[in-house]
Amino acid sequence: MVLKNTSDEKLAVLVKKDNNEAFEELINRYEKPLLRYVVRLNRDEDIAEDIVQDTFISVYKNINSFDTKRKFSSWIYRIAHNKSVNEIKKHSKTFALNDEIEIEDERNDHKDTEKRLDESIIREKIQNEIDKLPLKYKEIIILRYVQEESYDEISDILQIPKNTVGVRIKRGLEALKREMNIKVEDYL
Amino acid sequence: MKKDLKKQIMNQVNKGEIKKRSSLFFKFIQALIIATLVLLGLIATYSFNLMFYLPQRARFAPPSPEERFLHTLEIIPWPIMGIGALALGIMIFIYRKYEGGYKVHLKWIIIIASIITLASGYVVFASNLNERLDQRPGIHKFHDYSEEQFVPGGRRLKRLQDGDGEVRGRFHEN
Repeated sequence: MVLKNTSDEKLAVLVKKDNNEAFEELINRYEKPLLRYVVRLNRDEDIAEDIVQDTFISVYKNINSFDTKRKFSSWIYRIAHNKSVNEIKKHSKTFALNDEIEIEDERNDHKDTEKRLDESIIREKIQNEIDKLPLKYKEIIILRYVQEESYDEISDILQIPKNTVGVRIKRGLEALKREMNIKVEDYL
Repeated sequence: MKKDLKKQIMNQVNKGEIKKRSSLFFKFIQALIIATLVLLGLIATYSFNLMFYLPQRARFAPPSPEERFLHTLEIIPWPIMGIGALALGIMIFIYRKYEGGYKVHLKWIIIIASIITLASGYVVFASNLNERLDQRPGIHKFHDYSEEQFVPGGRRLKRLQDGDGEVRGRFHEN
């Protein structure tokens, strides 16, 4: 019961001291958010489950390298992120990793989109468009708008400077806006 | 079918199938990274120092003002400078990847690290460390070799000393 009110960082200290219940509590806290993040990145639930399992195993093995002055959430997301990216690179060539945002040829009647589709359909469409973004924009949009991470945490997770986080979010949103012709932030 | 992740992981943990790496292991890795950074820093500094020292050791006479720039370019031992730059590059890469340097923009890391190592190299050059090191036979040999190989004037000086060179008026008489 006491563990439920303990911070992640304190739980990590307890795990270092061989407290397995503390590790169980960390799994309770992070299993769902990590799964959500990894599924959004990979679009495959089975692979995502394997990645999340691997992430927790890595966390346990390397817990002694965790610096308790830093945020545990950034650390665990970083591990999950690295594993996801490795998996994407290994199994799929469909993600464009270059700077150019490929704009698809399909030109729907964007002018009427907002009027015709209800909010949930728009959200679904945004999700599809997010999937088409190059990985470096996709991961950052998911972290910011799905996982609701702060710029600081995203900077820690992706290991990029904070202002680069801002630039990539801006470019990612611009790319989505170009495709959707709506103010995407309102639906994220 | 959805896995019970928690159950599976905790089973492995409780059975001791997954083991934690000791903190000593991570301290060792950390020490190794820091030692590598220091070593690369020293290599970069020493190389940049040689960049100044070797042409001086080859005893070039001061160039005339109008040919100073080209002359300077001519006497720089570029391969030595390349070694310094390579050490600096690896140092920056390791720092960014393993020491959390990603928080700072790469261009600033490059600018600051370059200024620090170049300045340190110049300080070493300005001290009498090179002359003292030159008294050691091994280092003397290394300086001789580097001068011959990498400083254009150095090779000429060697030929001059052997009585086999062309004097172009750029060297001191002694």
